[in-house]
Amino acid sequence: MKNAVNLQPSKLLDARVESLRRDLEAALVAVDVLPERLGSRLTGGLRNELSLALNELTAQLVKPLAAGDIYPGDAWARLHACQLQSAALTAHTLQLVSGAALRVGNSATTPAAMCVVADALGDEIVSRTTLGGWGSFTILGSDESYIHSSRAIVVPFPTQPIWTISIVAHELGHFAARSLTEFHHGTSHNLVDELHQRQAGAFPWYWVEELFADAFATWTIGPAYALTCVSFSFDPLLANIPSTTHPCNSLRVDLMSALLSRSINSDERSVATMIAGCWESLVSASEADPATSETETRATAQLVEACLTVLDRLPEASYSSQSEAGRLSFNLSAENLKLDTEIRDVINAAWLARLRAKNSIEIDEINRRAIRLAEVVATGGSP
Amino acid sequence: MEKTVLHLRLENLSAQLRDASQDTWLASLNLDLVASSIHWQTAMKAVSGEAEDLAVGLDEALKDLSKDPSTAAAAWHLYFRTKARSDDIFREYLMILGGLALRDRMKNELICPFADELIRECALSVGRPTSFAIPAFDDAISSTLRRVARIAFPDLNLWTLPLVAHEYGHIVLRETQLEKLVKELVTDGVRAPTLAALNELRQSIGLPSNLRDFGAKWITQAEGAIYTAPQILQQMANSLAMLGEDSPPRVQEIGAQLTELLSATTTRVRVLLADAFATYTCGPAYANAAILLRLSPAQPGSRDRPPDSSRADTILAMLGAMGEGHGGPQRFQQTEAWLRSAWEMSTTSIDVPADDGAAAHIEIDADYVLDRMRFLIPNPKAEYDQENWNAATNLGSKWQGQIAAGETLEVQSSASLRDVINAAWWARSLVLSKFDVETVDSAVSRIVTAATACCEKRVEVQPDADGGVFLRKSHRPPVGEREHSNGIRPVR
Repeated sequence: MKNAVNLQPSKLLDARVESLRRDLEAALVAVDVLPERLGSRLTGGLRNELSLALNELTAQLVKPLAAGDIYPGDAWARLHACQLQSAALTAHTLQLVSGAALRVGNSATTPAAMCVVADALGDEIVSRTTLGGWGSFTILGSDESYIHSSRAIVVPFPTQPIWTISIVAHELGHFAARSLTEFHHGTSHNLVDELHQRQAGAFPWYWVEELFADAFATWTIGPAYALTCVSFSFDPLLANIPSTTHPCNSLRVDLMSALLSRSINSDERSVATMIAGCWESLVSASEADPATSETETRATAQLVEACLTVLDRLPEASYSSQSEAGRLSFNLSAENLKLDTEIRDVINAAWLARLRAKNSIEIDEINRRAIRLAEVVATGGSP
Repeated sequence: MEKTVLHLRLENLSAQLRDASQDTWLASLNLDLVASSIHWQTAMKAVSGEAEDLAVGLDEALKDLSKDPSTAAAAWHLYFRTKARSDDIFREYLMILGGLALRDRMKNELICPFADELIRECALSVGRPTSFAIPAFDDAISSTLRRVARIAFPDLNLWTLPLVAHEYGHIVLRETQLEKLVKELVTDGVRAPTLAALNELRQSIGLPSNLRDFGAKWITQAEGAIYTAPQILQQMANSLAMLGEDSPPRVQEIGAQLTELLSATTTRVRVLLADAFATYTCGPAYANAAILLRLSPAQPGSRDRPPDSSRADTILAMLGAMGEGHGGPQRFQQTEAWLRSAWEMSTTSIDVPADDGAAAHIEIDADYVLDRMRFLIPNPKAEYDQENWNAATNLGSKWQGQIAAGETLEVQSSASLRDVINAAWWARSLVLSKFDVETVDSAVSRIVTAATACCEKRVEVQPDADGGVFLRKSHRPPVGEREHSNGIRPVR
């Protein structure tokens, strides 16, 4: 028989392990060759996780297989476990590198143009907190989210730039929730974990983190975030129905309104009242299912106080220049910018202008002007 | 503000859907990679069409809302149904744009252009428009909108290249007469559980005595039309409503159960038939790539995919069926034998997880499927036949001999991609069985270099108007300046 072949079946497992090893190495290479302006922002989180997965693979499989120290059944089980872990990491890597690849060109019309502004907004917020540094960037995705391994923030695509960019603040809230710690009684404590413990099981921890992220966004970016949620994001049909990952929208709106109503700024307090009223009308107009006895729809005063206890440790991060936003809202032009005007001011100014707008043509013009202003502030460019 | 909110959501979503239907975003990316317009439009036709239809629906709702504000509740429901469907569209679009942008950045990467060429060969053989490949994550979720093949990231190398034939197979199943084969196999698969459920319904339907014959006739009709049984049960419920009777809850429950069974089984059958198609068109190369590098004996079935053990069985059975009936030794006998042995060894060493029961159990009769494919795909050259296999094994054996003799490996410009990847796998298997451990890696690396050179020659000789999906605006550096190492091509 021509070229008789005798391939040992055990090579199948070796081939798989080798293939997985190559996948992880290729993912590391892909992260290393991100465009410089984005790669330089990235801290080592994702690289470390990929390297850890490689080390785990070597320790669990490569070495034992080479030494003949592992039963095939155990080896396949370990391979399966490694593959599951690696699948998540390589998915995050792909999301990051393809999202970075989409951020090409300088044109304001590219789908990812607002990511430049979103990055600057993230930097602006984090610089006012006690957090060491965000160390990542924004990318486009199908839903807004925060990727823990790379700290990347996913901004939904397609997007209404100036009206939805405040979502970045909520996603940063997830970063803050995992990072805000205090050292007392000889150990380091995560402040949001303590917040959850104080709730005594009223909410699952992942709901607490979502509610904290809402509170963080409201604290750092003012009414713009709540306006975005009610106008664009939250589904009134599901107002009183929680999901497996998020509390019901009514609870979230209630929390944000309660926080805004405590503001010393009268404009913010009046927006709080308007948002709460608008949400109730939306829920009614959409004929949403009513709240059940099992549904927690009203934010307890305790929850609001608990969030404030954490956020009061970040006084510099609190959005307090609503008056500047008010001034800017009457003239959204570069000549009207001051040296200390921030992106948060531009976003809130745009919303204030929008609430006074008479028609959709005016709203489009406000959007266009505000985007340009935000880009000027973000890039430090000349007006 | 509440009326404004509804209006602005409807307007925004409509505008975004129109951007999708008009390819606004692709133009704004200004990529170095330029897609041929006919190929791009063919690839995006389903996505664009769906986006346009949904936008029209939203515009109608806006007009109704302006005339009659009391339609707000209905408009909200329409908005959220449309949003759910739009999310699928935007997710597809983003995956494609991101994949293209990644291809654009990876300027020296060649696996994607090779994958385009392999798809082109398959497309020509089945008489369908070609498509292209993008690096994407293999999430096992297939979309009826998708007409673009995915190459699993970061596994972009020559050995996994044949897997793209499975991706294209999904497109072929939807767009050719092979859709009939899908329905046949699904109907056969769900027949027993459907008849059992309908029999249970017959016993427990709970209709008033004057309507029992009425109900029984509908159930009999459903039993005679298994594939459309859920729709028939729905029609029965509608008919009862017209008669002023409430439909018994059991009718809705069984209807929902059968709908879910049909949907899950259809998804699984598509995956298995896509495996069969890929084996049919690409031969042992696909079997090698899938069984050695992709399928896992520990991977259970789920709602959206059959267990990998079923996929392996299908691929091996197809290979066996394709090799029979030619007199003399079976065409792919050696490859089938060692792959089967390797797979069986791996499955005997673990506990293969039980199926979750979401779908009917499907076993592909490879002889039957092969006969149907030969009938439903008119071009006999679509099948990876003896002529192809001779070309592949001759080239692969030549490479193995040249490596052993320390000679330069031959590079053929006339070999098709299907033959080159089969030659590479054949040569790899010879090298692994004959060479020492110390020399295997360098030998495999030389095979990759030679195979890659053959593929590059093949891609270069294809006229752009006929085969090239993409052109680069900028010049690509010549072959000598790129590095190869065991098939891994780093992103530069």
